[in-house]
Formats: sequence, structure tokens, C-alpha cells
Amino acid sequence: MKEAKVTKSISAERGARLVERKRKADDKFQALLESAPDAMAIVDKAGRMTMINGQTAKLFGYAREELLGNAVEMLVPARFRDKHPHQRAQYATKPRVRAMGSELELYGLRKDGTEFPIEISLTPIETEQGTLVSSAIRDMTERRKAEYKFRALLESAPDAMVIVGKDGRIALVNAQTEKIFGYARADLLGNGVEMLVPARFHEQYPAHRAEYFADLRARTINSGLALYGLRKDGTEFPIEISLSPLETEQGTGTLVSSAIRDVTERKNAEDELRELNASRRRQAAQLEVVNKELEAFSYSVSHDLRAPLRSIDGFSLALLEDYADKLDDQAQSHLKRIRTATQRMAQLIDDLLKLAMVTRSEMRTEMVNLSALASVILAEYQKAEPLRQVECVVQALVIARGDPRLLQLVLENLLGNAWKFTSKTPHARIEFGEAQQEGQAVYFVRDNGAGFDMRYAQKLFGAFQRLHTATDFPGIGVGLATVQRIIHRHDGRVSAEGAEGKGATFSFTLKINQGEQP
Amino acid sequence: MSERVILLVEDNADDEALTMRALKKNNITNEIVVARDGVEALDYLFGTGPHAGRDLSNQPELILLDLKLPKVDGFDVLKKLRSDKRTMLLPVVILTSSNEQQDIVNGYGLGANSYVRKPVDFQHFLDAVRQLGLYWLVLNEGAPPAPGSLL
Repeated sequence: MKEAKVTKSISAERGARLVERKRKADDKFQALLESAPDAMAIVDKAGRMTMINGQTAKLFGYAREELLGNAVEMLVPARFRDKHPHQRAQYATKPRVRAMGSELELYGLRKDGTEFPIEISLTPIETEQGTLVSSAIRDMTERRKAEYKFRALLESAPDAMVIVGKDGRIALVNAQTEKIFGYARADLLGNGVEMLVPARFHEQYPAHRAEYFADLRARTINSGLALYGLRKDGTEFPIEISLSPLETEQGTGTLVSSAIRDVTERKNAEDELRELNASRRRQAAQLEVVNKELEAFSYSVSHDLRAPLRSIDGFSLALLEDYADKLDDQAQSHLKRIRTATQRMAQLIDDLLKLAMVTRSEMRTEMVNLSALASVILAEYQKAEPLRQVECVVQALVIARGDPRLLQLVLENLLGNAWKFTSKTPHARIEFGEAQQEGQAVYFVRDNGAGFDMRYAQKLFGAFQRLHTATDFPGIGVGLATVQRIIHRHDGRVSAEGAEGKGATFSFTLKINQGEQP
Repeated sequence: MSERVILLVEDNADDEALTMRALKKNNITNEIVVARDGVEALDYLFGTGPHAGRDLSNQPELILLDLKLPKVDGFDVLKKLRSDKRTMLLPVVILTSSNEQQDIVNGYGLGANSYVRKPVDFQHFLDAVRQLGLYWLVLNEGAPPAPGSLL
């Protein structure tokens, strides 16, 4: 009895000690659970949570007591809940350590009914109560967000983004890659990146890649090197690539992202620009040659063409003088015609040279007193023909901006025409002045002379176009062509108005005037 | 007073004849020496080539110089004679067809005394030659013969 009592007391003591030991072990285990970074739940065969840590309660929004002893399915969203016991049973038949990061998209259900992405790792624990399963649950919300951001970034990149592993296999691509290379994403993922590189570069490609992985830093590969991409249809296109290493949970340098840009258009534009520049240089060179030739031509015309004219005129006159007694009136008249034609030819040459000069001479713009120029020119005409009576009206202080030499030529021609075409007009009047038209200064030379038929107005400004015979009014028809060229060089317009027998008005503008006034 | 010569540098035979005619018509009686290119002109002025041994104290009273000449052109002739003591003071009148600005500027730049463009109208040419003769042969006091030319 005593013994039994002792035994009993011993066993009671032992029992108490055992309970105490177990409690201590449980406490230790609980402390271990609490120290884990993830939410931890120990689940028994029936799916009940026998132990959890604080993180679990916190993560799912429950009090610890609300979870302990309850089926783990309460933490699984309803849509997965039916299958869950079955999945658990399957795991129980082949328990093994399952790490996080499997491709399964898992979700947890909080007490408030919200879902959140999780990752779970499972570990079987053998105990005297049988096999328990310890699950570590990690909240993936932030990570998923980061991933979405990364993917959104990847997709929004203007370049094709191809992420390649050390083994040269394509890990990730964006939509731009599909578009540029003509492949569907599924055709690319997991395949060697060489599929995007023309065959002739394949040999050196792995070496390049190895080199890059050995010396990881962001860099652009474009200048000098002619890089080409290969489309699914076999066509090639010029590309520019920049590489940068990606940090992953596996560490730096396991993945490299390449931004690939199709530079076809830029290459074409560059080629076009180069070609354009080259052709412009050629044209400039040609133009220079042409200008030189024109200059040589003008010089030759000026010098050589006149020499025979001097002979014709000189010897005609010599005949008239030395052989006057042997030449009858008819012969003398012929010789006079020869001389007249010669003079005309000489005038023609001079006028043509002036016209050429107008085109090739350099522009020099300054303020020009047109009134003063006009007065001097008219005074010279008057001096040359003192017997003519012409009323000359020159508006004072008409000042314009332009090339003084060329503007003088304009006024010489216009006033010269006015002087010439009023030669048969009684009470001849020539006027020079300035008017305003639509806010722009318009300069005019007006006369009351022979005038012209407006139907032929557009013919006036062509070289060698005349509306009068040389017998009526001498001239060769280069003057107004010269005027027009000069006015055009000043970005201005020139126009004529008139009526036969009622005089003519020539007006011109000088664009150079506008906006450049000091 | 023995009149000094006029040196006419002219390659065109017609122009030569017409200039001679114009001089004669204007009663200019000086002997006219004609050089038909730049080399001939320089030979005459410096007593070289066919003119070796020429009395260089008798230099022309006036040189009428065309610009466009075979071999050595008028500008080079002018340059040479302006850079030589024996000829640097001789009056040179450029008589040419050209009235290119460039030629006029070059001509004066190299020391021409006058620049006259030959008019096509012979009447005008006569008038020009008359005025040239009056000015350079009558009115103008030329420099005394250069000392170097006496050697």
C-alpha cells in the first residue's frame, strides 16, 4: 500500500514532471515560432491549427484564441476552400519540405474578408501525436506590387526589353519585343537569345555574353559596331542595345536586361542626311564652277565681243571718210546702217553684262536716299538733252533699305524709261515718290508718256521683250528684266500699270525694308 | 626737240590700225612703237631680246597698254615696269575693252596712271585719243629720265 502509494506518488510526481517538461518544451517551441520572421502555423492531420505565432494572428487579423484548434481552411479564400482538405490529404501521403516561391499563386483570407497574396513553405514534423505540418506563410503583397510595377515598367518601355540569364536563355520580354521581332512571347521565353541575332554573329555571341557577365555594369553598345536584330521572318534590322545587370533574390549578375532599339528609321535618316549633305556639297562645288565659268564668260564677253565691233565701226567710218568720193549715197547709207547696228550690239553687250552683274554681285544693304539718287539721275538726263522740257517731280526724303548700287540701277532704268517714253509727249512729266499700301512702302516712277497696253504687262519684265519698236523708242529690252531681278533680290515685288498713250507707272516694294528699321 | 616715242602694246591688228589712225587723225606725230604681246613690250622697255643694245635713255613718253595679251598680260607688264627704277615713272594708260570693276581696281593698284575703256563707236574713240594726246603729250609734265637709264 505504502509502496503503491509511493509508486503512485512517484508516478504522480513523474507525471507532474513530465507535464512540466512538456510545458517547458512547448514554451520553447512557442518561443521559436515567435522568433520566426514569417507567420507560422502548426497544423495537425485533421487540419486544425495546434500552434500559431503572433505574426499569424496579426497577418490574418484574428486573436490567437480565435485560430487555435480551428481548421486552417478558415484562412483560405472560399473559392479555394473546397479543394484545400484534399490538397492537405495529398501532402500527408507524401510529406516533404516544400519551399516558397513555387509558381502557385496562393492567397490568404483575412478575418475582415480581404484577400492577399501569400507564399507558403511546408515542413512535416514527426511527433508522438503523429505527423504535423509546419507552414510558414509570407505576405507577398508588397512583393507582388513591386513585381507589377516592374512589369508595368517593362511593358511601358519604348524599347524592346529582353531579360536574359547567364545561360543565354530569355527569361522575360515585353510587348515591344514581340512587336519589333515579330515573335509571340511564348516563342521567346526559355529559348536562347541567339534566336534574335543574325546567324553570322552567333559564333562570337556567347563570348560577348560571357565577357559581359564577367564585368557587369550598365553600358550602351552602339557606336561604331554595326548591330543587327533578326526578326522571325528572317529579315534583319539595325539596332542599338544597352545592357544593365539586374538585381534578383538570387543575387546580382544572374540576369541581364537588354534594351533594344530599332534604329532603322534613324539609320535611314542618317543615311539620307549624309547623302543630302554630300549632294549639297557637290551642288555647291558645281555652283562654284558655274559661277567661275559665268565670270570668265562675262569677262570674255566684255572684252572679246567688243573688239570686233570696234573694228566694224572703225573701218566703216574709215571707208566713209577716206572713200566718200567713191561711195554713192546708197553705199554710204549701208555703211551708216552697219555702224548703227554695231552701236546697238555694243549696248546689248553692256546691258547683258549689267544683268549678269545684278545676279552674281554680293548684296550690301544700307539706308539709301532714293530721292537724292532720282534727282541726280534726272539731272543727268536733262544735261544730256538740254532742249527737252520735262517736269520732274521728286518727293523729298524717300529713304529705303537696300543695296545702293543695285537700287541706283533700278532708278536709272525706270527713270530712263520714263525719260525715253515721254520724248514725244508735250508737257512731259516724270514723278518719283513713295506711297503706303497695306502698311508697306511702295515706291513708284510715273510718267505721262507713251504708256503700254495692259494686255502685255506681263511681257514687260522678260529679258529682250519690248512693246515698242527700236525705231519708235530705242532700247533692247533688258532694263526692266534687270529691275525685276534686283527687286527680287531684295525680296520685293515690282509691277507696272499703264495705258497706251496715257503713260505708265512702275511700282516696287523692298521686303528688306520690313522689320529691319533701326 | 626730238619727240619721244609712244609705246602701243596691242595684240589685235585691227585695234592697232584703228589706234594708229586715231593718233594720226589727231595730229599726234610721235613715233609709235608697237609691241604685240607683253614679252615684246618688256624687251623694248629693258633693251633685251630683239631690242638688245637699244638706247634706254630714250624711253617712251607714253605707254598705251592693253590688258589681255598673249604670253605676258598687261597687268604683269605693268607690275614689271613699276618695279624697275628705269621705268617706274613712265606714264601708263590702260587702254582696254574691259570695264570690269576688278580690272580697273587691279590696274590702278599696280600703278596705272589712267584707265580708258575703248569705246565701240570710233568717233568716241577718236575723241578719247585726242584727249589722251592733249593731256599726256602736251599738258602733262613727265618725270625726267630716270638716272639708272643713263647707264
